[in-house]
This record gives sequence, structure tokens and C-alpha cells, in this order.
Amino acid sequence: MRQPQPFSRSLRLKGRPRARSMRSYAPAASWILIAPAMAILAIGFLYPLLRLIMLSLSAGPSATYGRLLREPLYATVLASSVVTAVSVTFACTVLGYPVALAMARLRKRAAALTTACVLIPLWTSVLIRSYAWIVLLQRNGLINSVLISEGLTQGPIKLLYTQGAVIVAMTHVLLPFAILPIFSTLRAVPNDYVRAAHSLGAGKIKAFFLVTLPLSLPGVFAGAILCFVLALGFYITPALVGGPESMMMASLIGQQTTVLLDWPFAAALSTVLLAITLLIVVAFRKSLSFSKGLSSVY
Amino acid sequence: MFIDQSPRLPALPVSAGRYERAAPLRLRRLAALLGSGLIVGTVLFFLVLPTLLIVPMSLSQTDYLQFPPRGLTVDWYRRFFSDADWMAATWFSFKIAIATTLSATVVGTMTSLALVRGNLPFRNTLLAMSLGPMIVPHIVLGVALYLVFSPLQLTGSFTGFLVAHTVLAVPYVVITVSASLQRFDPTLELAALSCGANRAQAFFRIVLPNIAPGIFAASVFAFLASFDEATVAFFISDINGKSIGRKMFEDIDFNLTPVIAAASTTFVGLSLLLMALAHAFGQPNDGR
Amino acid sequence: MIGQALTLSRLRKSYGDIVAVNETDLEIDAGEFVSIVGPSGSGKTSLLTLIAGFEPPSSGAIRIGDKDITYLPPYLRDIGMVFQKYALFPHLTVRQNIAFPLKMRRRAAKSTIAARVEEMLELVQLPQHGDRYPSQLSGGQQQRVAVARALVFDPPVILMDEPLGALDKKLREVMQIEIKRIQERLGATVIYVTHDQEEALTLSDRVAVMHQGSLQQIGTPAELYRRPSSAFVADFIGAMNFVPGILVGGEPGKHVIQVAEGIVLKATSGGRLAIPSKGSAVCLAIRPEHIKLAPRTGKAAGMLAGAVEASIFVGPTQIVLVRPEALPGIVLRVQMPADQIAGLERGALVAVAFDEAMLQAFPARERLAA
Repeated sequence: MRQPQPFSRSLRLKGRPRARSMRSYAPAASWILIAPAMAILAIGFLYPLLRLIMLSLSAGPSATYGRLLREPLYATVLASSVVTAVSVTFACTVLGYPVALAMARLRKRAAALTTACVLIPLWTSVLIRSYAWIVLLQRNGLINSVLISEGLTQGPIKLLYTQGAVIVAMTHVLLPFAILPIFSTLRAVPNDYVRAAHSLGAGKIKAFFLVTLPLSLPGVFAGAILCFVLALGFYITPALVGGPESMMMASLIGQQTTVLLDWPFAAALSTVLLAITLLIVVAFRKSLSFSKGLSSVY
Repeated sequence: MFIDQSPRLPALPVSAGRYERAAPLRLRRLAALLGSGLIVGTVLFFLVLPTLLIVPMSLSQTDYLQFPPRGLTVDWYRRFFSDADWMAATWFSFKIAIATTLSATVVGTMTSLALVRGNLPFRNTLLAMSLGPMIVPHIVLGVALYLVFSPLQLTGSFTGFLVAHTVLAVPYVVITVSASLQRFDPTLELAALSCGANRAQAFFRIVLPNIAPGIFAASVFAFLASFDEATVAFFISDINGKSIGRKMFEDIDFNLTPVIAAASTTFVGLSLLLMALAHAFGQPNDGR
Repeated sequence: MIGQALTLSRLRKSYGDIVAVNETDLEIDAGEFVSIVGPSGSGKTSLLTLIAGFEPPSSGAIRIGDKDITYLPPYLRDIGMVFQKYALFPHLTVRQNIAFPLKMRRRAAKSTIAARVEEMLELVQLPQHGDRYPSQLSGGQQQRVAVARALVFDPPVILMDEPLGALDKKLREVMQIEIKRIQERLGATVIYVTHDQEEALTLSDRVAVMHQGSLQQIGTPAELYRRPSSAFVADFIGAMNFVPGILVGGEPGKHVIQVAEGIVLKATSGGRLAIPSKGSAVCLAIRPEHIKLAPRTGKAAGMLAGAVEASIFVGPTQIVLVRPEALPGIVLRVQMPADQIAGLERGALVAVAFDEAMLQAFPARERLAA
């Protein structure tokens, strides 16, 4: 005879032939979990974008998109936006790589300090950082005072409201977005590979160019695309530190909506910017694994 | 050739030659180290300096922006905290940020569970959709939201901001929580089931405590994503409801005074505090 | 005794075209310790997954005692499980980990639970470690906690999925004895999955061998060793020599097989499969300890002659590798007492004699499949 089992539950006799794998949540449960996000994205994301596209077509495409093609100003602005975005992307990648390498290779304390230096600006308002650049670059700002007191220039130089100011400030704002994806691929490169390269006779520099750099290229690429896409549609920083000659797509949209109040045309410009952005993201979706890098934000 | 040369290579000169080369090599290595340290240091300086500069600015006695500042005063802070416009914008944004944090964290965590542990068709499409607001230029979204909100009189309203900022904050939550869910060993959930816990018990007692650090960090990001947001806020603010982002943008554009520096310093301090909290509580509690 | 019988009938699991578990019947008695062995990918872990309830079977039934649990969710099955990497809850202390199954059942009062947890800590010899976190324990200690957590609610059936796989050899042997001790003391029904056949033979009342999703044979360690039902089992359990040959005569159960020109051996039928007809290819199997070697000088007819290729010291016995002249490509592994190896050093010429009572014949195709 079996002894009584105080802790064991009595087994239920009725089976449920609809049983399923316990390794993932059932489709119904999954849909319930994702439903709120999809609802709010439908209301606050997809529907507004749809309305925007519809508005851009409301007055007839020739009035909006036709005008975009007819007037050379808009091609100039688009070109200048691309030039700025490319410059910023290049600067972010070149400046970001050594920092990412330091984050991945330095010892615990130093790496943590470096990481903090990258994360603090990332989570500081873009407004505040743009403001800081105004303070630095204005006529009587820090940079001009230093230049004058060192006797390098006679009077203050115009630094603010220039293309250069836009590129410098945007590089500052977007640098963490380049650093983090590079960092996460570099961290994934096993140190053994580098050691193996050393043991096979490669010097430090050779080992870097033959092993570390090629293995981290996906991160460099992801960071560069992220930077480019964000730079292309950036509004705040160019609006605050840029001048009229450094007009970018976003500033143009802002001008149409706040000054000229031409909403259908602003919608058309927005649609073009949206289309370019989505094209880039879709074209490079393989290398832009979204969660890469940004998950190491904290 | 070989035989001819070998007698000319006595042992001592070879080792002496090596020794001679050693010093420059070490120097070169040191120079390389210093050089790379200098590069990294300069970039880090470039990253951090502008933000740090705001602090002395906010304490300067002069009422126009000047550097280096002359004299010390907390007057700008007093003005910031006593100005009705600044305070209204700050509280409005604060309320929105708190509500956004709650909604985005809950919605984003549920989405991460569905995407990482769920069983869904078109998983990649759904993932792209929930991360979309991060990629779409904020000015485009700002214009689009204004078009929808304006006729509904949602501009400048708490509800309007809550919807807009939740949309913007969800991607950060999804990325952060998904990462910690992927680090979570699903065998632990099976272990809980075999211990007699049902699905809900297994989630709340085993999964949730283990991903809680990630959720906490995600909620900090959601808060900052809302509180620091300026572009969309620029479009969906109005005279009655102005977020701190819109208020600061206007002041920087038209009315550049050290009050902005005082406000900025306050907010950077708040961000740093939250980041420190996320770091402190963002670690798993497993006795290590 | 806490254990109950477990019955699998015609249990099958397939993922699309891939059959993970193929029509398996298995009856395990209450309190029995059964190991499931097989190479990786043989379906042993899939079988365990079905019993635990993590995946539903495609067809068939699972019963504990006289209750059908085939479609019960895992949390209603009352099966204790020890996982490969322990799967201890990292955010709970040892005590909380062990108490977890009891808390989920909400049957017992708090004080009963506390007393029961202490009892389990004693049983697995960790009474001082109750307040530690899993990360503060060694691998062996974590393993003990995992066992305690699986046992604490007196489950009628306990599943162990390679529980010692992550431990080093010394610790593994200690833990084997430990697990066996606890199992015997509680009278628990244990199903133990391992890829280590030696571990299975040490621990189990019976061993089940799986191959390609099918149960090949189940029996006591001695049965599996002496009477393997297929060439695969013969090969998988213990060391085995295989020699190909042609069936030339004999009667059912007593075969006459020619292995080389002029060399004919008598063998019994190995396994369940009947050897087909005269002239078909077979394969002979014999254990290393059932081959005798003697030094030779000349060459006699009907005798298998060979040369010693290597002689390996393994403690009380010696392994001698012999290459028979008549069987190209085959090296026989012979195990003999260490005091009988005089004259059998490397290169020595030897006469090989099989203990014909221990010689078993399997269909040749089966050997190829293995």
C-alpha cells in the first residue's frame, strides 16, 4: 500500500487534448500582450502618418510634389541635408570608434568611466546640448574668448549659425548612437581571436587591422546608418545653431508650418523625408539589427 | 652564402642589438598608448564638456551669456523656480513624463513578452512596427500628430502628449526589456512549471523578478524620452499646454538668458540622478 | 515509498517530417530507477520533455499509476524535475528555492513547509547553506539543491536530465552515489537521462537505450551487456568487437559463420532479428574479455593468427590490440588479466581464440546502420 502523500496534489483525470508547447506563449496570449502597443501605435503613429500623406496629396500632387521638383531651392536643401548628414556620420564614426574600442578593451573602472561619459550626453536633452553649443560658439562665447586672448584672431569670428556649427553640434548629439553599436560588436569579439593573431605573429597594429576591425565592421555600419538617418531628419539642433544658408529638410518643414503655414506643402516635404528614411532603413534592415547596441544603453 | 655569413654573426652583438632596439620599442609603445589615450580623452572631453559648461553659466552674475562667468549667484535658479511660465511647463512635462513612464513601461513590457516569448506570425513586422517611432524623423511625426490632434483639440492637452510620448517611449522600453528577456534562461520558467507554478505564477514569481532590473532601467529611459522630448512637443504644444521642451526651445531661440542654464542644470541633475538609480537598481539581485 | 508506476504507450512526437520520438512503449515500476541512454539526437531528451509536459505528444498516452496525464499541463503533473544546468531560481535563496514547490501547492502550513525544507536540506547534506543564493554555491552544491527542490513535494515520478553533465569526473562519481542513496531511501521512481552509459549502468535498475527516436532495448545492465538485442546496443553499451562474416550453415540459434578463407566460427543469434538465409552477410560481436590470446610460433589451419599491435595498461587488466592476418582492416580489442600477458608484447605473434558461447551474430545491415 502506498503511503498518503501530503504534498502531492491529486491528479486531474480529465485531459485536455488541446495542450501545447510550454516553451512559448500561446498565439492568443501573445496577441493579447501585443494588442495595447499595436492599438496605441495605430492611433498615435500609423494613422497620423497616413493623414500626413493624404494631406500632401489633397491639393493635387502637382501643387505639392510638382513644386518640389520645379523649384531648385528644394533640391538644394535636400542636397545640403545629405551633405550635412554625411559629414556628421563620418565624424561620428571616426571619433566614435576609438571610444568604443576603449569601452570594450579598458579595465573595469576606466571602461565604466568611459561608458558614463558616453551615456550622460545620450540621456541629456538635445535642447540642453544645443544650448551649450550656442554658449560655446557665440560671438562672446568660450571659443572666441580663448582665440582672442591667445591672440589668434583680432576680433570674434562668426562661429554660430553656420554649417560648421550644425555639423559640430550634431556630431556631439549623435556620437553615442555611433559608439554603442560599435561597442557591442567589439565586445562580442573574443579576446582569444586577438591573442591568436598575436601568437601567429601579428603585431598589435596588424592584429587590429586584420582581426578586430573586420569583425567590428557590422557595428560600424549599423552605427553609421543610424547616425545618417537620425541626422537627415534632425530638427532641434540645426534650427537653433544653424543659419539660413545651412537649411536642412527638417528646418524647411518647420518653416513651412510655423512661418508660412503651408500645411499641404509641409506634409509633402515630410512625406519625402519619411520615404527617404524608410527606404534607407528597409534597404539596410539586415545590418540595422535594432536591438544591437542600444540595449547596452544602461 | 650561408656559410660565408655565419661567422660574422657572433653571439654578443646580436643580443646587444636586441637590447638596443628594446628601448625605442618600449618608447614607441608608450607613445602609442599616450597617443590613443589622447584621442579617446579628447573625444570624451568633447562629449562631456558642453554639458558641464552649463553649470558655471547658471551661477554667473552677468545677465547676458558670457564665459568665463563673473561672480557667483543663485539668482537664476530663484528666477527659474519663481517664474510661473517655467514652473507651469515643468510641472506639465513632469506629469506627462510620469504618465508616459507608466503606460510605456507596461505596454512596452507586454510587447517584449509577446515578441520574445510569444508565438506570433509576422514577428519581424510587428517588431519593426513597435520600433518604428525611433526611426521616423520626429519632425515628420510632430507634423503628423499636429494634423490629427488639432481638429480634436488635443494639442496642448495631457491626453495628446500622453499618446504622442508613449508612442515615442515604447521603442526604448521594447529594446531594453527584450534584451533582459533574451538574457533570461527560459529553462527557469519550465522549472517553475514543473515545481507546480501555473503560467501566471511562473511569470510573476520567477520571470518578473529576474527581468525587473531591465524593466526599471526601461522606465527611466521612458521618463527621459518624454521629459527631454522637444521636436514633437514643439508641434503639439499650444498656449494653454506647453511642455518644458517647447518652453526651452522658445527661450533659447528668442530670449537667451542664464535662466535657461539654471533650468538645464536642474534637468541634467535630474537625468544623472535617474541614470544613477537605473544603474544601481538595474543589476540583478542574486546575492552576487 | 513515494514512487508510482509510469507507463508510456505508443508515445510519439514529430515536428513536421522529423520524428523525435517514435511509437514508444515503456513500463516503469514504482520505485524503480530507469536510465535512458543514447547518443545525442537519439530522442532521449525529447522523451523526457513529453513526460514532463513541456511539449504535447503527437499521439499516445502517458500514465502515472492509473491516471492519464498525457494532456495535463506540467504544473498539474506532480513530476519532480532536475535540469541539466540545475535551473535554480537565481533571485531566491536555497531555502526559498526548495520551498517553492510547496508554496505553489498551498497545501501545507508555513511551519510545515519550513520544517520540510530543513528536512530536505539535511537529506542533501546542505544544512548550513539555506540562506545562500545559488550563485554563491559550487556546482555540486547547486546540484544537491536542485535534487532537493525536485524531491520536496514527494513527487510520484522524478525526471533527471543529465543532472551531472556539468560536473567534473570526481564530483560526478560522488553525486551518483548520493542520488542513488536518496532514491533508494525514498523509494522514488526516477527516470534518468544521460549520454554516459557507464553512469547509467552504475545507477539503474534498468537501462533503456534509444537510437534515432526509437527505444532499442530496455533491460537490467547485465541483460544489456550480455544479451544486446541489436548491434547498436551491443556497440553502445560497453566495449565490443565486430567481425563481418558469411552465414554458411547451422540451425536457428546455432549458426556457422565463415569469417575468412578456412576460418569458420559458431555463434548464437544476437537480438530479436532472425538471421536470414544461408549465404547472407552477418556480423559477429564479442566482448574484449571473451577473446583468448596465446603466443604462437607457426601457423595452424583453422586458427585465427595475428600480431599484437599495442598493449595498454589499465590497472588490474590489460588491453591488447591484435591485428588478425586473415581479417584485413580489423583490430580486435582483447581484455585480459594483467598477470597473463607474458609473451604478448608489441609485435608478438599470437593465436586468437573466441569463446564461442559468447559469440553473437547480428544481421550485417544492422551493424551498418549503427
